[in-house]
Amino acid sequence: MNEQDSKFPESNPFSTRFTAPGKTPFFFERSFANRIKAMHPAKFEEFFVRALGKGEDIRQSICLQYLVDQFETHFCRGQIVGSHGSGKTTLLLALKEALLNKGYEIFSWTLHDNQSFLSDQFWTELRDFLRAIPDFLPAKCLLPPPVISREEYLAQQRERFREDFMSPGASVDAAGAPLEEFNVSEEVFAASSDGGASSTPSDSSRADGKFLGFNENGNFGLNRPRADGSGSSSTFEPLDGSDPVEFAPFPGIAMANENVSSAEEEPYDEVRLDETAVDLNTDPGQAIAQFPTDADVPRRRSFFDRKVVLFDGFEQLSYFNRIVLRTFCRMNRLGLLVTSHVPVIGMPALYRAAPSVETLGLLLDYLLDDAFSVPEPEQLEIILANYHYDVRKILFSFYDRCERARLVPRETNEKIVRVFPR
Amino acid sequence: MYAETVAIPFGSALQSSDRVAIWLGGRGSRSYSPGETLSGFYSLADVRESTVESVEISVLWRTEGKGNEDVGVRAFWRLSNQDGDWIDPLRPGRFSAKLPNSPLSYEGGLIKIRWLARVRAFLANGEQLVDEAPFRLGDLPDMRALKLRVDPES
Repeated sequence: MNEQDSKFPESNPFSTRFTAPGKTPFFFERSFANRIKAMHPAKFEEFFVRALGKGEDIRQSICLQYLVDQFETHFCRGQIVGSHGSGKTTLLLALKEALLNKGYEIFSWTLHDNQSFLSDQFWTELRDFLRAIPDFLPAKCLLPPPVISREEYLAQQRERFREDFMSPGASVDAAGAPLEEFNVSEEVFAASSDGGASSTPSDSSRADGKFLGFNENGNFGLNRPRADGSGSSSTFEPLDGSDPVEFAPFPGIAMANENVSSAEEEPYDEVRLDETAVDLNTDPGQAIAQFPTDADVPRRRSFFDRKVVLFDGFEQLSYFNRIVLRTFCRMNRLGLLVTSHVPVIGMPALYRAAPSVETLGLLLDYLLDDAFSVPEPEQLEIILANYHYDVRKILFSFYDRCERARLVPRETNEKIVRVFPR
Repeated sequence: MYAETVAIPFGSALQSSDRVAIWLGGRGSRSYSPGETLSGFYSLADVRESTVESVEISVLWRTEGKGNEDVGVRAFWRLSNQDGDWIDPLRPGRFSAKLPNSPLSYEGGLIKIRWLARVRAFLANGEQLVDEAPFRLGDLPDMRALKLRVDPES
């Protein structure tokens, strides 16, 4: 730095430029790290070795790795609970950084000003986030359903297919290449898409295998017509005599991605819940022998595809919007990490943020340089009590103190933090 | 009288480095009028030519205070080896930019507007070298000093 800089006023160390969430690390208590060491000594040792390699603050790194591990253990679900100004957002951003380093794709959203609903902008950006992921089948599966009856929907689909494949004007596409023509009869389409008007949806899904549900193996997944021709038939023969083309009855629903289409020889496409799942079609005894005996099986499941939604201010959402968001994330195989003032039922609490004398001292020590001294622990305890353990308000009050102390001589300046509480 | 503390807290990502420096030309007070041309140069020290991937020079203003930080970039230059630019650490690089009429430098209690010239060097190992040179645009008085003059007891 140039020597001329001393003529210019320095920055207030408590301005939001330095204290905003994400600008400072989240400081964990020593007791939290000790608890990890006592409860999970093997993991603690592993995290310790990793932290040594990173060259970061060891305690913070261990605690962050532990929280990420807990997040994965709970199927990428978690919440950070804490009151106002307790550091929830700071911890959320620290976890975001840790998740990004582990290869997760993150979608972040923050609510302000008591927003109680999920705005259109949220859904638009979330949709763009999902579309940016290649071959992300559930995103296509779970588009909002049409608000019409099932019969009307099927009629629309029939009309759409006729327009696409049978209209005379559709024989040449935009590039000038001739399109294939198909013979689509009412009987074939009804057999492939409707499954009979008299049967109930549950019966038809079981019998014809056309809807989401449990298949013969007991796995929940997308049931498609059998490859061997049994069950419903949805093949259509092109007029030029080439090989029959198989297409799904619901174009927005049953289009399988590459991962699913790799299981063409199986009677049904399955969304595998576990990479290490044994094949239940084999001998039962062999299947039992293959079954993993490791107690850490849940963490190894890959149901969530390393896509996580970080939601700051979850408690502001209405009850209905909370259910919508949680259901959407679950059905789209998205992880969900939220911050809340009060614990949300059904989501594991990863961490309860509560400022203490120790963490406030670490934060002040981080922000202040040698010219200022951090108050004694007894004073910090009083400051925390006076400001109801709201670190944000404490930092603002320190900002005001620093501003007032700017115009006074240096000797007085050194005592600005010692006059608390007022 | 201002306290002589370090402007950037310990651990900040933009900690100033001794290996890069930026200097502003003209008067020693580094106070400029709106519309005046700001000129200066930057230099790198203890840096090999092959290790510098790119150098960014910017003239910008930013707000500080209790609210959200706001930034406006007046001028920006980027020299990159990938674009065919020649970066010689042994020779100082020069730059100049015409300053706008607003916003003027401002020192308030809740908000401050700071003008500065910044050089940032990106090395091949991922390291960033940063140096900033603050300057004043305009001649607005310090509002906190005015307040004290009106009511010294406050």
